This record gives sequence, C-alpha cells and structure tokens, in this order.
Amino acid sequence: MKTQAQLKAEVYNALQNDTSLTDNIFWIARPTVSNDLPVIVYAILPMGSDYSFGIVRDSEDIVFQVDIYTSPGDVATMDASIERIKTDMEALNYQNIGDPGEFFEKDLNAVVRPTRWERVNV
Amino acid sequence: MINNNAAQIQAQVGAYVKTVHKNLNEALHETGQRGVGIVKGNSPVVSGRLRNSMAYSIEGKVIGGEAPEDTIRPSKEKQTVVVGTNVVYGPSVEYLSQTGSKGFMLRSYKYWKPIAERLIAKAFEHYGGVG
Repeated sequence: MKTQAQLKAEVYNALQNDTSLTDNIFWIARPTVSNDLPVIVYAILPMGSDYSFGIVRDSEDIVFQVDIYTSPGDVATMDASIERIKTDMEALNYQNIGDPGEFFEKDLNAVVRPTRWERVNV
Repeated sequence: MINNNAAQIQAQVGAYVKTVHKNLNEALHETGQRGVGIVKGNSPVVSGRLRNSMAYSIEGKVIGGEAPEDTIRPSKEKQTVVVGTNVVYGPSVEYLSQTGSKGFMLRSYKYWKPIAERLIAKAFEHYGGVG
C-alpha cells in the first residue's frame, strides 16, 4: 500500500516526465510572482471530515485535483494538455470524476480548467 | 378458480407497487434532507449565502434554501434526488478556493453516498410477499 507522499510523487513524476506538457508544474498553488503560462497545479483534495465522522478509509483512497492554466488565446494547448493529463493519470490507475468546468482568472488573465482524479480499485 | 387467483395476484402486486413507491418517495426525501444537512455542515461560511442556499429537489419540487434565485433549479427526473446550490460563485469555491474549502461538495458527496444507498435499500426491505 502506498503512502500519500508516494502517490503524490507518482503524479508529479508522470506529469513532469510527459514532454508534451509544460514544465511549470506546481504543488498546491501557482506562483504569484511569475505569470508564465501554461501552468499545471496539482493538489490532494482533503477528505479529512471522513475521519471525524468515523469512516475508515484506505490510505490510497485519494482524490487529486489537477488544474491547467492557459492564456485565453491558447485554448488548443489546453485541450491537448487535458488529453495528455488524462493519459498520464489513467496510466496511474486514476479515473476522472466530476463535471468539466472552466473559469477565468482575472488577475492572471488565464483560463483555468480543473480536473479531478480518483484512484480506482482501492 | 384461476380467474379469482389472477385477480388476487393482481391486487397484491398493485398494493406492493404502491407501497414501494411510497417508501421510495419517503426515502428520497430523507436522503435529500440528510444530504442538505451534510453539505451545509461542510460549506464554508462568510455571509452565509452559500450555506443557506443548499436545498434538494425531487420531481420538480425544491425543498429548502432561502432566496429563490440561489436555490437549486427543480430537477424533473423521476425517482431522483438532487442536492446543491445555484449560487453563482459556488463552483469557484468548490474548485478554486485557496482557503481549504476546495472540494467541500465532493467531501459531502463521499460522506452522503453510503447513507443514501442505505436509506434507498431500506425502502425496498419491508415490502412483504405477494400471494
């Protein structure tokens, strides 16, 4: 059984090693001092309330959120990157959950598309 | 004899279907109420608008919520309960919040799902036999 740190490293390595994706990959949040786009931000979604409700969870029962930020004129890159992320995450035994959505970050002038990934067969 | 048995069977099946529909309707309402309670507990609060907007909808009816423009739109699906909000900034809190609120709906869903499954299963438990 893998620890959360191992699972996190796996996701980072998969995204980092994919040469079709940007090298700007960050944990938790994008850097505020630099506005280079595209940017990928990945984070674990806390499910901590389950522990307080007494539900026992497998340590591998985890949800990642992978956000891709691109400039508004570069949506083709975003679509291609989303497909690469799908390939990389599915290879690690994650499935996409939730509805697709897009947001516009005014301060960065970027379009952001969050995707959520749940580990399967845990 | 055969016609009497057929009529009897038909009557009992009819009663069974009616009971199951009634039980299922009650289970859906209880599921919706529990879901709204769970998601309200997990909702981040500043003004209370997001939390107070949480409601559930069954077959075109919306139960709960405060301001009509903030509550969930009626769901027309049959035998389905939908829990949520129509507040315009709800999705950005769910997906983009940097204050720990990100994923509050997903957390609520993961806690609510087994409860909903149990309640719906219970609706079919005590239906009695036919014949």
